[in-house]
Amino acid sequence: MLTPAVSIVAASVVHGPQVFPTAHGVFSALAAGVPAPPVDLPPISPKLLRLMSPSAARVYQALPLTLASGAIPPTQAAQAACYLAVGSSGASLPDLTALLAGSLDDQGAFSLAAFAERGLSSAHPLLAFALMNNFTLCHAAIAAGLTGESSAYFARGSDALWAVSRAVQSIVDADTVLALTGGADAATHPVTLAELARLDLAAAVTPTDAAALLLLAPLGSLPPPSIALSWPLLLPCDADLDSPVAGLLPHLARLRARAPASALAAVFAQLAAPPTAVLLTAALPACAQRLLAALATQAPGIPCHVLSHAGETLAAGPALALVAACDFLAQHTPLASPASVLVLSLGLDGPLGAVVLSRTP
Amino acid sequence: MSATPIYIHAVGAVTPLGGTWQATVPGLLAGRSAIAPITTFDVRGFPCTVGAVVPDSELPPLPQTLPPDRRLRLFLPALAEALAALPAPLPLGPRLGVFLGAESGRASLSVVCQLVQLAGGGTDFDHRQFGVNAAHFARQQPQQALLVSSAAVAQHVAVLHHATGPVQTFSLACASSAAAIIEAVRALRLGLCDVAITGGVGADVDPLMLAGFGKLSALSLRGESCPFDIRRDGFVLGEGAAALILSRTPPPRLPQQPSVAILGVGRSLDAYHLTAPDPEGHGAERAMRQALSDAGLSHVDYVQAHGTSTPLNDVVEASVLGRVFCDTRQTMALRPLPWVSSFKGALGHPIAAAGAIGVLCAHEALRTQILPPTAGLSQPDPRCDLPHITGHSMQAPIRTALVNAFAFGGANCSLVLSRC
Repeated sequence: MLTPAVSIVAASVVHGPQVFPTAHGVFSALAAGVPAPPVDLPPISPKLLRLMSPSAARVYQALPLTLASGAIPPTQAAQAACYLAVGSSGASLPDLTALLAGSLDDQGAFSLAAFAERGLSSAHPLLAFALMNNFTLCHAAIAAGLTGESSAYFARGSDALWAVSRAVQSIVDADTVLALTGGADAATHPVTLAELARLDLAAAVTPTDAAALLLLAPLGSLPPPSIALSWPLLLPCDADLDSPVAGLLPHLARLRARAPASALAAVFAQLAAPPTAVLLTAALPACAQRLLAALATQAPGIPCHVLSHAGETLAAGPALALVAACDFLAQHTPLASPASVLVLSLGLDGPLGAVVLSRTP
Repeated sequence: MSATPIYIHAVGAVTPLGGTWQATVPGLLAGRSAIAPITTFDVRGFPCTVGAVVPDSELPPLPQTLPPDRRLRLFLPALAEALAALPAPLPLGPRLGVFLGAESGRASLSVVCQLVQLAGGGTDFDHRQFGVNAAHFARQQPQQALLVSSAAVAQHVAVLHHATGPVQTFSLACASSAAAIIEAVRALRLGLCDVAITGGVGADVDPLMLAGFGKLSALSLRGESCPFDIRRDGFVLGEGAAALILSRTPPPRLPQQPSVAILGVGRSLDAYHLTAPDPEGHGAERAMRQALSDAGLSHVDYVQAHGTSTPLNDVVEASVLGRVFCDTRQTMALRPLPWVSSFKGALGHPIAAAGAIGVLCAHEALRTQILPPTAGLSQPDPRCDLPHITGHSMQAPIRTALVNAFAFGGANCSLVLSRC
């Protein structure tokens, strides 16, 4: 059942140029395009920044904000587990540019011999690590001194909820009393952009770099009115599994044809009570429209908000929506009343994700 | 009390020593090394010019319906070997999960460079123009630009085997597949699925990674992988894949065919340094102790070590193994330290596949009671004073084994296996 499982201690978001040290303002920004007030971030030294992939830099910025907004001292943070959904990593554009410049032959064509002779020397020593996905997590975890269990889950959308699910499990099983979770991705990286372009998605989505983090604790460990998070539910669409197809993401070829109604009915069967509202994040406007149509049949009368200003943030998308739901509960529902938000995410990678956030006065 | 055992029903692998696990084992036991000069691309000028590559002749062609992704080409035959060893077909649908360790596939270096050129080649990134240029470029090269998703392998496996249960990809560098197996164990214990396809694949013998690791001085300049040896000076890149079929249910008991189960798992993060292990090994020690505790054990008979042949890793791991099992030795007189070996002298370091291949080595040793040696190890470093297995395989009555996989970035994974 989509019932409360853990409490949310804190959340923060770095979304494109916008920074949200807490959940405050995230819903308005993602649903209505209301810009975040400017926030000064502690700068990352150029030397360190050069060693990071773009998504690693965003987690590096967001993680201390999350710990600070939860008033978590370093000794407690050291024990926290960390489960993060990450996308493809990648070297920074200036690094790739330098590497390219050194790897061209006399005719201006790429040459492996030139790469070995000159391009290689222009690459920074941690190039290999910038290319590995877990370094999205490592830079920040090392800086914050997190020594608990950690894991990077590769995701392109709603699969990011596996990271949230593992974090919930670690709290419910009492393996830890604090678990960081969320997602980070850099959808504007050249290779990701090329993927989107090839799949004719470049015009349909707005690739955006983002990191969204939540800090979880055992249910009941915070004074009311706290916000609780349910176990995430991930429902694959059987229609996606007809046969293998060529391409990066087997599910993607059938994305436009997906009918989420049966998955949505399964989600509502897991609800203890109708939600106050539904927040929806979907990879493509067409997907959002189909989900909205299915919702109108499944749950008529329940307000539904599409996070249409979130852009395509891939692995960060579901966690962004969860933080937006925290903000919605805190800012847009009467604090004296119980309220709950059903967060639905339908990403490029297949399943329909569902999580319920609820607040008890 | 130990946690629920998870049984290994079947295994398969593709390694530089053989196109199947069955073909790999004799080479491993003989102490052979597959490390050789790289001939798949021009390595002149690279800091390290050797690797452990799976010959193309060992790999069946991929079906036309699949993209030409090297990771799929390595993993699918490994999985096919495991499936062929199963006495019954896999369940279909939501009770079958897929948990694989993989890093990104690699767009070729020339493709990456062309993409950068399309973006203007500078720091002013014109996304709109890039979108137009990249789409045209990518369509001209229908697959190359797309082989970058870590999830592609797990998703294809899920589609091919109609797995609609949990499908997860773990990108944790050298600990990726160990983490995948650990999460498969947890999912099976939780009842999220009945059967899990797990393991991992590494396909990183390419110019970018050879350059990247070479720039970091992590690769052997001598061109030799010799874990725990005093001459070691870095690791050698390898590639390969390993697949396991796991279930909560024990396999049918057959004469002379003991089964093997995963009894305990443990994970931690060093939070120390991006590229160097914590010199005290606190994180690695936590992972090992957690796995032992999860298994309800304080000692094992054999360790398949991470043993990468880097100066730092091996001495830290040896020191931690001494601490973890020395405690036991003091309280339980006459218990010797476990036998230790590492496959990386034979197969190089297959990065995301390393943990899963380590588990297969331990599985084989528990099943057959024959322990593989550490190829390349002839002069043990006194700071790595352990009961190493050198030269050739040895026979020993073992019941339990520990497998370690430690990643750049400080992620540590340990698993405890037992003969049942």
